[in-house]
Amino acid sequence: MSGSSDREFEFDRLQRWMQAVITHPGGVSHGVHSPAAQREVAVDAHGIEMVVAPSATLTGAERLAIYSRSYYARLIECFRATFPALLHALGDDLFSRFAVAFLQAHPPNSYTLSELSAAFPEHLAATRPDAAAPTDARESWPDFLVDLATLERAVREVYDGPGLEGDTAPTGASLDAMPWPAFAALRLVPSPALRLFRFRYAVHEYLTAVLADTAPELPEPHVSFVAVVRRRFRVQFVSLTREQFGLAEALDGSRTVADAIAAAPDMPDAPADRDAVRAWVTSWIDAGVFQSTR
Amino acid sequence: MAGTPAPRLGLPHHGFGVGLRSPHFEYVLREQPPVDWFEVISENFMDSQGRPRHILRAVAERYPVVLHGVSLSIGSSDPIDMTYLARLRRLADEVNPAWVSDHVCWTGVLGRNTHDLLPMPLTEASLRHVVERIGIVQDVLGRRLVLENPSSYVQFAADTLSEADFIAAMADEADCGLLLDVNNVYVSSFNHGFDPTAYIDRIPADRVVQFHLAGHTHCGTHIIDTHDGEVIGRVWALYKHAYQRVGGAATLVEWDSKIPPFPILHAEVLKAKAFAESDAPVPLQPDEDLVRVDAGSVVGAHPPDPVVALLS
Repeated sequence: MSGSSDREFEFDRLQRWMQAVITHPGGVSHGVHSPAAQREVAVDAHGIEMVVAPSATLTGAERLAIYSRSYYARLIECFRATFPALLHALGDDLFSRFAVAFLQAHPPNSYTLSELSAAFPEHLAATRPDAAAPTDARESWPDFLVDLATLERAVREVYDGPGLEGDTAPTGASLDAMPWPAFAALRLVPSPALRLFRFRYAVHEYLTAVLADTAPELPEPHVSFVAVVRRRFRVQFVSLTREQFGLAEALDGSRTVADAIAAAPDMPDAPADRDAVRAWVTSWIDAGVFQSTR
Repeated sequence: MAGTPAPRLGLPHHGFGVGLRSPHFEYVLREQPPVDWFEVISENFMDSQGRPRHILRAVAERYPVVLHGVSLSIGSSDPIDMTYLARLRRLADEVNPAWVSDHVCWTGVLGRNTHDLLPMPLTEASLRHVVERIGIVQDVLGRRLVLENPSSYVQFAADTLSEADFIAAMADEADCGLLLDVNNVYVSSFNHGFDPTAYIDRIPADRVVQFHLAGHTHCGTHIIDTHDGEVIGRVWALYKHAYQRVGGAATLVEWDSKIPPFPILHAEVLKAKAFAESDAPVPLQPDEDLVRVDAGSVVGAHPPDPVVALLS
């Protein structure tokens, strides 16, 4: 249907045209000339009122612009809610540009806004300006942004994903008095809420500082390890050492504690360190890292 | 205005409720305020396996709950999203809402979701399309669907029906319920230049099972349905007219932006009860609907909870 004199546009064509116009990042005047819009209704900016009637106070283009402005504003607002620390780090203007670029590459296609930014961390990693450079030749600041976005996205997924609430989870105290051979033979099943991360920056500290309104400066690179867990429906961070991270990764439910110690890199193996390992594990149990013991 | 209104379409008149929003979760669970019922945004709970779903279960144990959706996209030319519908059915089976509602709109095509409530082209063809889809949705949900008139900012040159005629025919032909958003009628009447009272009088009264009320933002050349403030007197007056004409129906106040403490929201819905039950006219202020902002206001949305609310 390309005849601009024909007002009997089918409604499906009108919907595709309107979507193309109002979601164009250049606004209505650019959107109406986009190939996606022109495929449906071949009118130019001067012919918009062949499709959208003017009101007593606004032209057809001005009326469409209400939807056009709201489209990106609404979605960027969701990004702000999900990535407050990234927003703090980038500033509003640059953050919005990143969000719009992502939305152009990944238009929302889910009925739920909670899926809107699921691929944002991967998008940042794939579009970093030095993405094609060898890893050792890259700048470090994009690492910070990718790590921070990854953590903030994980917080939302852990918050609304499956958790331990309602289950009878083990307590650390129940394992304190257990003889070492019995403890070492346990298989600890991770909580479905658990996410383990090795970051190139201490982004969990940065996020915590932003949420505490302390306006942190951009940090220096610092390899950090963190478990993101959920307890009583609230998300928590558990800071880990490199050795603890290795053990926590190895305790994947398939190995006994003893086997996990053997499989984890950099683990202490002297008998005197058993108390330290037990203390780590029992504190993680109390933090909600594990779902059950077998 | 005496007596308890009769059930409509077999659906109860639950009284005067408010939209449940996350800043009020703790207050509602702790204080158990004397609100008649709550409406929740279906999509904010249907996939949740965390605190939102936990809260909803707890609220539904104490209060009547209605599921109000924003992504059904009943008017889209895309196929119905059966995955969405199955999840909505599952949530409804769990919560046992008084009813399930959404909007007469489309939210996207070609697999996209703009997360906006976009206006239907008002033609016989689109009416047939919506009526057919309502039948499918009602069959899958196993319950009657209640649909809301949206606020809108454009009209298509190809429109052959008024919105009120479209909705009246849709409700009768599809045998669905109606959620009459009085603020949306007011907003659209300004934006499109129609008589809001005539619109309300055109809606089939026996199909209205619920009213919505909310604040809006007057931008001078148009009004945006921002849900960010108190209901203005002219909307109260329209509501009073609609309530009397319909013979009473469950009423709910929405407040989605600049959300106030719960008691302020509660006070707003108590105004609705007072206006509904009084024979006195609604007092109008000549300057009550002044232009408040420039044209940059955002059409109402339901963004996710801020991260600070998720962490312990």
